[in-house]
Amino acid sequence: MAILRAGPWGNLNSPHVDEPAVKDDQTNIYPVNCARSDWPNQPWTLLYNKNSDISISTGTAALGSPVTADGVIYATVDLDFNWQATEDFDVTLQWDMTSTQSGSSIYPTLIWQYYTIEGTGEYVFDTPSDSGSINITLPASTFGTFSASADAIDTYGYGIQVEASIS
Amino acid sequence: MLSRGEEIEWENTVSLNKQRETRARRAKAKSNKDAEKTELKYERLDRDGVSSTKARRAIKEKYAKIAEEAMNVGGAKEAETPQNFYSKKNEDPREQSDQSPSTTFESNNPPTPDDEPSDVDPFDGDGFGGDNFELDIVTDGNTAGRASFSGTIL
Repeated sequence: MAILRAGPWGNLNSPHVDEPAVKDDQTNIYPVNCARSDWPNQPWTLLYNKNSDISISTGTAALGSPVTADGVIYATVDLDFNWQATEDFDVTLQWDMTSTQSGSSIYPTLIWQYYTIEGTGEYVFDTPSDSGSINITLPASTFGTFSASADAIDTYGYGIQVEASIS
Repeated sequence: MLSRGEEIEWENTVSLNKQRETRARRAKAKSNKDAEKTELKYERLDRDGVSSTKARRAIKEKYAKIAEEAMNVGGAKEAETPQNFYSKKNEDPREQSDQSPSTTFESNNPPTPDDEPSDVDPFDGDGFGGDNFELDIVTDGNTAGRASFSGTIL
């Protein structure tokens, strides 16, 4: 059965919110996508937050577009979006975390989670290798919300870079 | 002779005015229904057998008549509005190229709902509104598309 579009932005409590002029994760609303497809008048979009000990910024990114955060001691990339889907579908979460000092430990962590308006959900915490990717199956839902976070710490303070994307 | 840009602007203005008229008419119809409900509610409180049924029927007939009159008035206006509207514009001497600029908006602009209220919905004939509109949907296979709906947006 077809699903009527929600959004264009929103969250589980407020699925119908206008696109904000200023994209900021503090508003707690995120773009609503049609699975991995574009809407007729809105391309697939996620809200990112790049956070590190030296800077913080927020914006939107397209499907498959990498988001990179640079820090001296730590850096984190958060990726958030909502979806509507008539069938289960896969997204790929990719990450690449590096230190500017070759061989330095960066203690990567990865968190991803989703919840649907129907009440299903999943939360995963992992300490993965410095780079990689994982396929995540998101269920059919009239409204679901997804969040991923990639984080790394360089205890010696040489400099750190975290890159992540959804495709 | 209007340029294409002016024509588009003119059509948009006419369309907006028609939408305002539709909204005003719906509000009026709802107000009428609410008044009927209120009267029926109080009649029910005073119920005393046969006379109550008669009174309720009278109330319903009264409001049906009001609604019918409102629709008839609207129909009459609809029939004459476009003709007057365009003839007024065509007869306007300032349509000629050597006219001096107008100092008021009154004679150059199309009538607004405030100037010439109407109860007519130009988009349908049922007298109670109803528009066709398109909304985005997710169809089978997670495909984004558009679907046409017909009805009233409340």
